[in-house]
Amino acid sequence: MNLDWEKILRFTLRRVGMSMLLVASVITIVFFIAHLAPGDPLSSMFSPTISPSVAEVTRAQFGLDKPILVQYFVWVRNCLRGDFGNSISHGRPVGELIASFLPNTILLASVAIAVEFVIGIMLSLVAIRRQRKAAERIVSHASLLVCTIPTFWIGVMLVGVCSFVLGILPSSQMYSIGAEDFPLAVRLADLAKHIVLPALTIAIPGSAIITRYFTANLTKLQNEEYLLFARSYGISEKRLFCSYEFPNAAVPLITFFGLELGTLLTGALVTETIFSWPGMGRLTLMAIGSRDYPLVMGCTVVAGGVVIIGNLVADLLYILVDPRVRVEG
Amino acid sequence: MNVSGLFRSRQRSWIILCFFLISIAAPLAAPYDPDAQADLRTSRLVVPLGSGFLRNDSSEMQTSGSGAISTLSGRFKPHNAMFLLGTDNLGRDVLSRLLYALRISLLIGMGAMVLSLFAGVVIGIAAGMSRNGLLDHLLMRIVDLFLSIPAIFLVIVIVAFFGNSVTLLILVLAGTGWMSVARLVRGEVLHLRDREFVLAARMLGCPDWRIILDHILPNILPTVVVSSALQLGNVVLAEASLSFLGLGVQPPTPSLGNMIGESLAYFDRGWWVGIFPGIVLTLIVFLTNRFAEYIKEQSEAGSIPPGGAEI
Repeated sequence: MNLDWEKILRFTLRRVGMSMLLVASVITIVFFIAHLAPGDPLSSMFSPTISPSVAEVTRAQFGLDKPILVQYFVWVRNCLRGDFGNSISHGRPVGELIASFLPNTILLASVAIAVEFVIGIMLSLVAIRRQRKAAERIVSHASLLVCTIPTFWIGVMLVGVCSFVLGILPSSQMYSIGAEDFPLAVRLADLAKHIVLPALTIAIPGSAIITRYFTANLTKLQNEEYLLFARSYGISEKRLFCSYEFPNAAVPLITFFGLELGTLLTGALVTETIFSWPGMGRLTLMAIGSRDYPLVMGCTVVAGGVVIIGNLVADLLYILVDPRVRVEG
Repeated sequence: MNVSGLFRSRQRSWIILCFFLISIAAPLAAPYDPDAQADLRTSRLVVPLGSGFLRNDSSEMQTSGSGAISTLSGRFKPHNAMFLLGTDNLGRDVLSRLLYALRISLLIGMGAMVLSLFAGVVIGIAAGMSRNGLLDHLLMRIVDLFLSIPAIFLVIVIVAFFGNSVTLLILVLAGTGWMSVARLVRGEVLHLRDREFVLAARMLGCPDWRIILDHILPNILPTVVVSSALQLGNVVLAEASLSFLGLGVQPPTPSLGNMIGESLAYFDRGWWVGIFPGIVLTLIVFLTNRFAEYIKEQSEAGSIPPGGAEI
């Protein structure tokens, strides 16, 4: 047991160190991309008729007259403090903007994850229980096709059919206009109505991938000797499934979740654009549209950080759940 | 070898090939100029198989453009035209635009795929063949780094700051795709390096480059083919997402992504404008994935001989 903990600690420290290194390199890469880019971060603030001396003063105010290495270290120091400067287009601190947009993305992403896991696991259970029947074939073929459909196309089709043609669900924003004055219950119902389409857009391709992955896991398990043993021991099929098959097939989904996080953010980026969902993706795209350098840089660093931390959490969860990883270190 | 599987796979590769041929032949195959607008009063959002008045096709446009004075009657000479897949909001033929979109999507896809494959194979072989392991370690850490940074955000930042040309798109998308190839190739090379035929070649005094060219490369060919198919699908999809967001190929040049993006605004009046590019896009990704999977199965089953003839 003693040795066990030492191994876990070593693994954890190594993973945490690696993640910190990764965050540092994201910060570095973003800085150098922004500085190698043609054009001036302040050009969108100035009118072309501004006198050169005023431009010079403003440039000095923003620290843009300093050598690039000095600017880099200031940027790193500020990033570590969570200070990404002021947004040019919004006139507010970037950190504050991100803090108000990020929760919306997290809400959308968590609903989408929940939906895709429920749909995915249910479909693969259907496939595994009805082997060599029509249901299994439909599930396996459909999931194969659906997981290659681009997210944004699903979004366009959903919003087109459900909102524009049928008119049953709202097509954009998080709340209806004037929803601030509604009582809480109505407000929540309004939110639920608005989240259905964007969440489905992200969840449909995701659930197809989970279906394929989970079905493969379950099928692989069928040949395991411990299952054969448990079955010959006389354990009921229900118990066998609940305590042997399901947990063993579900554990790899944790790693999968970590890997999916990047895809999820990408999906959110596109989906938020379609549905005008006020999240990180929309903030980033608006920032790009208005050439708001500090905001673009801040958003990218935060998005990179979220994915890296998500992967770290998934890895650490994995040691908690799967004893084999603990033993092998 | 499973005969029906082979047949289906052959079909798949034929369909992919057809996509390429059509896209190369787009100027010949397209019924109209992709940018030519039909008469807006009558031919806006014409349903598929419907007909309308085409104001002028490209040849007429050019002759009237090169002529010193183009008379109104000459420019507006309407003739009846049939639109197989309908027209979009600006009265442009969807089929023609789709063909040209396929062309630019596959151009970017092929370009990025070839570049990332080349980089991946070179780096993978360099890492796998390195003698002391230091280079291997260094290269693989770089691969890890690039793999764990969410690529789409970097791509967006680069495209946003550097502007978007087709060349830049190809370079950027290649930059996000080489890592998985490098990792796969390195694994193969490490495995092959200690096989008897490589050791024998080395004992006979073969220089490294001969070993790589004659013994390693032919043996990693199936892996490379699998990666290239997967890469093509991924890159086409990534380009479509970027163009959809308005960061990739810029209108009026049609691309699968920006056609879908444009159609969003008038979906209730013209569903066909967004549906067809989506189907084509899904087909490309689906077929390349299935093709890759098939080759992988075949090479794992050992039916593709080392040297990888006839894939």
